[in-house]
Amino acid sequence: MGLMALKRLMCMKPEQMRKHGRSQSHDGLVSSLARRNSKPSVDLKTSEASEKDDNSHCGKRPSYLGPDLPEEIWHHIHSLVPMRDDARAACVSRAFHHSWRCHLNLTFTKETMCSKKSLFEGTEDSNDRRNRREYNNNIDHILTNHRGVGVKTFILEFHGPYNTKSYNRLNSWLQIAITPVMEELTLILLSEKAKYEFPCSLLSEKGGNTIRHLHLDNCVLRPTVALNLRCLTELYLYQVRITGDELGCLLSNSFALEKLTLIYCYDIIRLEIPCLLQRLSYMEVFDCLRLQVIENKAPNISSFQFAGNEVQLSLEKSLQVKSLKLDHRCVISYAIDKLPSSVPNLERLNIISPREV
Amino acid sequence: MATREAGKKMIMLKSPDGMEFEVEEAVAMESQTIRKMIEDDCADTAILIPNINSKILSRVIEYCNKHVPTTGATGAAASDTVAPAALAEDLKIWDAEFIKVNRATRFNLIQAASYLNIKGLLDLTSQTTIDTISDNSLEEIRSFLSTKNDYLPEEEQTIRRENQWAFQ
Repeated sequence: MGLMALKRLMCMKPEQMRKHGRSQSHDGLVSSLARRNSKPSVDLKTSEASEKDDNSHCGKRPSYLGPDLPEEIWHHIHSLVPMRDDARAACVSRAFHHSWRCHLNLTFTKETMCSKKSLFEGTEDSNDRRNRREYNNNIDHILTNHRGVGVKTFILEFHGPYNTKSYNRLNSWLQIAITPVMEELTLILLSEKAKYEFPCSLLSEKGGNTIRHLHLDNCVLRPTVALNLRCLTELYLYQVRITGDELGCLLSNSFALEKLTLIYCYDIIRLEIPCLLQRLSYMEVFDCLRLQVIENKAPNISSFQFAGNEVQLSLEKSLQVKSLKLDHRCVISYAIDKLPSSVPNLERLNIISPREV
Repeated sequence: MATREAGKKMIMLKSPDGMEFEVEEAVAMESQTIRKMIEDDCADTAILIPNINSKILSRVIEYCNKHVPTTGATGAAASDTVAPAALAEDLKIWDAEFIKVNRATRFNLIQAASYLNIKGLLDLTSQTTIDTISDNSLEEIRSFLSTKNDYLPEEEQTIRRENQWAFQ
């Protein structure tokens, strides 16, 4: 909360500050301790009885003994309660239900959504299919109730079915979840057979400029225009269909990027890391098996890890690289020939060479 | 009303009930809200902290005093002689004692921590409520947080059915 917020609060009447649930007459924060004393003694009361003393201090009995906090603080607290517990607590009262609908951190995984009884393995067994349907319906219901609220942290494991109808449903979930308050987006499709094209337009139109962490597994990413992921600090792509040029498009405004991980991204043939990524310090590229060229122009990479087929590796401006791990064919001869000149400040080198000829 | 005392810059915080607290600037700046005011040069006279009475403000200052980094601006060097892990353990024990207050005081502290933007205090004061919601039955939550069930019976059934997955 900044200065403006404090000024706003200064103009706020006490009754405006307490609007969670019902009207209250509790003296709250502005109780009248009129005496002046530069070093007040602190009275530590611990019992409910002493709390009644607090309330009677201003000489009137509170008509309402309920939680006495502003709605925005309740939302903050509820968003820190584990999702499952908060959903259960929605049955406590209408105010709790409202807070649950505004829960800012949604994690949809089998662990958070399923009991032992409703677990499923993704087989075609009828029980399994029913439980998976229920998993999707529960997500659908929760997100429908979240419409217009926004989500800060959104983690979703999608277990299929992998067809157009389900992908449309997934699109509608992302449409609700991605808003200008989103900070973390993790979308994991559990099957390698998934051919889901992530709706990049949502990142350019709705919530892209607040996202810090973006983690995608098993989907297709085809950005056609430069995205404005200007707060992005961490990008993790696992088995994502994206070309080098498209990755460039994705990161064209990601000046805050610090960590980049690419695993099994088979469509990348040439990986060019532009010099605009000034903050990028950590990069790992594993088993992107069609990759032929890595050209790094980001000046501040301190740690780089690579495993896969032999590539043409250009680290021309990598004066900051202190830790390097390379795992590919003929890496020992490469290290002897190239590394002393390209990474002169290297402190730690880890090389794994399956073959040297 | 900033003054100097033993080389430390002091600042005056004023509660709405008329009490004044002289605190080190570094301690006051544990509050991001006050930090912003000081950095924006809006703090050359006493800073009025609205809506936080002297009792709560004194407890907030007590917290900030304990949690202000022991090196740097305050000049002390406790962390040079005490291992960080021991310091952290000491703070944890201190926090546990600090938060042994009744609910009204705790809620007032939550509000104060939120308004003054003191993340550590907000986390500490919120945790008891978070645990209460996480660890108890619906009836116990209602009882501990003095919340009435204001659902009509059929409404409660609907909400319970909608969230059945969370009860399994």
